Amino acid sequence: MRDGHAVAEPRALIVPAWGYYGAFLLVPLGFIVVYAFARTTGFFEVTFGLSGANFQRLWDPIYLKVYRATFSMALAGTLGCLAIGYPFAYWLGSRSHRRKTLLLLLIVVPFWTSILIRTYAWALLLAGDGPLSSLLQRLHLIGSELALLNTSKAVWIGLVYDYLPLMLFPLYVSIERMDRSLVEAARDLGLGKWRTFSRVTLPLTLPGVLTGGLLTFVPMTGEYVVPSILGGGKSALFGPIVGSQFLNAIDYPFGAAMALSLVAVLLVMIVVYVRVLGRRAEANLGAAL
Amino acid sequence: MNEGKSGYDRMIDHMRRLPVSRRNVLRAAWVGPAAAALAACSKKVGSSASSSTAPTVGGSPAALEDELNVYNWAAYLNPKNLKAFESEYGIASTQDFYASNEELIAKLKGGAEGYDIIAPTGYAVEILAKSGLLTELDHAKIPNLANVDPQFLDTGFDPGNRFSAPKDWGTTGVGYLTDHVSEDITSWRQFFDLASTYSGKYTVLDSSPEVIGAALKMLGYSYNSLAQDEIDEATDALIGIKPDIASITSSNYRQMMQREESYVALGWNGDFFYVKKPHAYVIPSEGSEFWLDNWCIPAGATHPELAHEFINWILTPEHQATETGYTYYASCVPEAKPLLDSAISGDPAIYPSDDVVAKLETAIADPLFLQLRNDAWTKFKSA
Amino acid sequence: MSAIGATDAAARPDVPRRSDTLTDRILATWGALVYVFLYAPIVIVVLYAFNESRDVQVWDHLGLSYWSQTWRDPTIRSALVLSLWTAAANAVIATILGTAAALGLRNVGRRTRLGFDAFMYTALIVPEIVIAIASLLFFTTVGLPLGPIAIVLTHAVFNTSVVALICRTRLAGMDRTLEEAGADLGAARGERFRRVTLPLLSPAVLAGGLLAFTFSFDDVVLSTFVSAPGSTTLPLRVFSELRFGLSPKANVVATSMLGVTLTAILVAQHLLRRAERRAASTGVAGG
Repeated sequence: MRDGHAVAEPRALIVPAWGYYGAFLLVPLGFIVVYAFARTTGFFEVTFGLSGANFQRLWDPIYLKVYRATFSMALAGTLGCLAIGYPFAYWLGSRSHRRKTLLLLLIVVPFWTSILIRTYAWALLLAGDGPLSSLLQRLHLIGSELALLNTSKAVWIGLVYDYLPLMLFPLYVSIERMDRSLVEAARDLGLGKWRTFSRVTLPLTLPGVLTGGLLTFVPMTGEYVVPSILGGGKSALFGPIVGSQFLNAIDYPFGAAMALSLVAVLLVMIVVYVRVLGRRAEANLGAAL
Repeated sequence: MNEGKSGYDRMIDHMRRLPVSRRNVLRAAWVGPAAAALAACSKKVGSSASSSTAPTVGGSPAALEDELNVYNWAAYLNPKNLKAFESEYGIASTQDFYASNEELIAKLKGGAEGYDIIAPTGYAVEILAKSGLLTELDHAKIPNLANVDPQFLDTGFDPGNRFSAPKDWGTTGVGYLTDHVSEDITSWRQFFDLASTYSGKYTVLDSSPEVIGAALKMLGYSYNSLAQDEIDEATDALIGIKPDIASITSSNYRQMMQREESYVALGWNGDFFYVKKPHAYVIPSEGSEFWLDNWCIPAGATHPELAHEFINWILTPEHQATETGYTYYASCVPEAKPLLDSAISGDPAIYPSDDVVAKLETAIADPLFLQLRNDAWTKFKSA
Repeated sequence: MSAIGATDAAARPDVPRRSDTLTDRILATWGALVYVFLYAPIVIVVLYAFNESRDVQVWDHLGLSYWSQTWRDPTIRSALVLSLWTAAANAVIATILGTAAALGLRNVGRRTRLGFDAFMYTALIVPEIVIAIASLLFFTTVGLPLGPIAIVLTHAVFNTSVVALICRTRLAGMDRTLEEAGADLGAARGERFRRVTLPLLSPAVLAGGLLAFTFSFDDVVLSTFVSAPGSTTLPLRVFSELRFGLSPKANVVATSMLGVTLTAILVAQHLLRRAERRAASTGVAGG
């Protein structure tokens, strides 16, 4: 146990946490797998077994549409975060050191506040007779009341708003660590602004982009609060649909199958991400988080 | 907020509605007379032997507990009644809320404990009973069950009232703001046809039986259809008007209508009374849903004696009248009706005329019923 | 979170820029707009909590009337109490588990570390709804009761990862020479831990605990699925209030929650940065 390092807290210290994960993370996730292959019979009775009935049902256009809608919404949200976040991270990277910490803090703080509150804020803001609507009407930018609330556009706004910081951190880290001399060299060689950006900066910061994309896309697919508050009960996204299998339809096996299939897709994405980034994946994730 | 069912079919031709202005004036004025009426009646009732409110009615030898935990729809139990019960019996109470029968069932099935009183709709009573989640009622402890109109007893979903005591009943239909909607909506067909005219000003309940049922009735099918092709047709009709729907909600639609964010809503009759703007409520001519909500005691309730006592207590005409005056849903106790302000008792939205109901149906408790509608609902929501 | 724990690379001297003042201006404007975008909604919520109008989204004038009304509501008060103690309880659990794990991880082989990391990151990345329903299945199948205990146990999973991550970052950035010095001077392991490691680590532990507290305090999804009726947390109370549309009470509660969370976060940040500065100022290279 003793080696070159003088410090030697016993390795056994990780056992309690690991055991906790085992009991309250691994086992529950295991239950999802078990339930996914079970069936609902009679009145909400569950028969365990190895039935593929749930997955067959999922292959129906009705549910494939849910997946399509969910993934396109998550993609749209991720792109929105990227579009807003990249220029911002770039700008942040060029601030003075002292300013940077403060500016970063100002980003972090809203992020750690409740997603419920922040989403609710948009419900307030986007209400037909709410402040934004009156402002826009007075500025004659819109003719009548703002009709954004309870639409998928509102959900998109909410998603971008709630997850923007998650995109910002890895982007910022990546931009920060970029070797600026390469950019300078490109400029010295006569490359224009945009060429420099696309040929040098962007590739160099790609790991950050991918990490940010992963960190926003994945949670967005499972979002529950935002569609509920801003979607007016109309959007059929994965989160609320799965939730309703448990809270309303009481079809646990089917809900579990839905959850399992989403996790499977996300797992594939994460594996691809790790492969693409290689060893830097862990560093990027860790730094970002 | 209530999906009901439970059979009780009468004839319905078409609903007539009161001229709006008169209803408004009368509704605003009901408080005074109703309060006076209740005060007068309580003396009257108190002296009669049958509906007794004495604490130890029923002759149950078991001691009453000191706390009542209620799990109910929101705004569905008059706080005045609850307080009166508390002080009369010297007990404390808690209330928690659910927004749908499915939520109630899900929570109870998920092992939620600690409730003594719940208020499921008819089909939910059957589901809960079949799942072993209800306590059998001891009728010896609820003599006031005799106050209930026999037509509401011994129903298809709970023969012999083994598990439930009727709470109130209502209908599902269309409510709309008359200042904004120039047409007289009298049918589901009209409801569907007018959607594009009032696009963005429609809401429907967040509940598949009612909404899919509405489409089924419009197409001439049964509310309880189990035929996939009929349900598909109904779903397609709904998808057709989905772009015109502002929100799918069971709890927010009256607020939205009050704020004129919506003009037309598919909802429950009593809820529309919260809308102060001029409006009308209609049971569409093709027929709609009749539902009966019930008091039940969950299995494993920690205060069953008090729960029985509460059910008995609330089934007196005076307490029933207090309930209706608050929830705007009709009581199942006929003697409560005369105690109400005539604006309420005479309002066909709360008390439809006796020929109502030929085409009123109630939802059945069938696993296939739910599964078919769940899929259809997902299809509708993701359209 | 690179603001937390990680130290910046040696500050680069600002490289002189060629041209691009226009680009700079655009970027700066963009930066400002992003901040407005981030903060405007929050400001609005807070403002409206002090709105005296009857219609919740129409601005009238400032006043405190809804505050007393809201906090007099017993359901809201009990929700607050429940939220506070479940957040505190699971923060304690998470802090203990996470800190211990971070310490132990320093001494394990690569494969063990990767194995543990898999669990740690899974808790953070898997969408919350999946963990929520998994927990619901777990508790109902195994027969454990839903409710406050379930809430505490479920929240602690995610939070253990949070604390572990923060402590690990801090430990990685911590200079071992101090600890080694302690060993060289003959301090026993326990004493070295108490007198050197722990004080150096404590800001991260506290910060992690505070963050765990705020996450739990604010959590909606996990609580929705593992709470039992009767155990309504404050966010759940707001969530269900919102079902009936916007409400002044929701504004008030939201603002109060913001206050609690902000305080906790700022304290956490302050602790971490003070620790960083102290580490830097004692002349020990920050690593």
